[in-house]
Amino acid sequence: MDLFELELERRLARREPPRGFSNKVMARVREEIREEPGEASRARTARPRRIGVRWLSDALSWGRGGRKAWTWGVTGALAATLAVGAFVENRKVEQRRRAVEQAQAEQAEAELVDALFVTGAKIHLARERAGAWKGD
Amino acid sequence: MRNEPQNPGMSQVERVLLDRALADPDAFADIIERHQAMVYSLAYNFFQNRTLAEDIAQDAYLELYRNLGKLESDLHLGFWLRQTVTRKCIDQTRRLKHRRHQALEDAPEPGWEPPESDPLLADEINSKVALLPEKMRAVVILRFQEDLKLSEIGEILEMPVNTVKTTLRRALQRLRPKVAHLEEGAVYGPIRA
Repeated sequence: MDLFELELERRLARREPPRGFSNKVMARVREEIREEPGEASRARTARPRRIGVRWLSDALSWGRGGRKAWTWGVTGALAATLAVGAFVENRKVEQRRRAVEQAQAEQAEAELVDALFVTGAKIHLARERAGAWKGD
Repeated sequence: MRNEPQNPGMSQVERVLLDRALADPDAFADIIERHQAMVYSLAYNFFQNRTLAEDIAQDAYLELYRNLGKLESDLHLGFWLRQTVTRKCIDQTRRLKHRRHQALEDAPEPGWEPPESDPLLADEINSKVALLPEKMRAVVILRFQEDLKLSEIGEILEMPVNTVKTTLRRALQRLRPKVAHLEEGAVYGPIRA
């Protein structure tokens, strides 16, 4: 700690509140007890919450660990959504690829059959002409 | 230097005080007196305004009273108070910022003093601290008023230790050049004879 930091510590040192501070707080406490005696008493004497309930309550509140739980929850949900989305998209792409391949295979098969038919017809025609020449 | 113990568990004295306060509201005054310098000073150093600091400190104690029964043995009373006051200060700073942008008819009621009007603001270092962004200010005050470790500050502000470290370094960088002339004599006396 250097001189500047020591000076900072001196300037920010604790100081006592104005006289009567404690009495003012107690006056507000008593006022609250007068206004809502049942509720104030219940809140003060409430038993510490069980761990599960406490975690859920903290997770749903701004309080201790609450924001962290929210952050982790939201991050987890986003990650899960992304993973499921990627999986579904991947399956769709795969299905489309298979359909295209199948269509191409069917088209190739049809072209092959056509080609064989044409070849057969041409062979038949050639044989007929050859037979005709022999007859001549 | 500090009134309350630094270990994370609640001290025996505090447990006794809390139990007494639960049974008898008037015993709550003992808890107030035990921590009032810490609570009031956190708010005072944040705003450099006595009225505002007193209001925030009172609110923090009232909230403590409402939550006395919920405080568990593993939750240190000092930690709870520091966290509550710091949050209230940060919230109040944001409200004040928002209020500055409001229309004239929504201006604060007469009698409310803006932090700048406090005569003590003339103090150079304190005024520069009061002008820092709220989280940065909280880190500086918790470090130099409360002498807390970076990890403890991180727990209170729910920030990673490295972020606290960076924030503190940047805050000191902001403060140093602005009060450089103080270092040359006004605060420590003349360096050269």
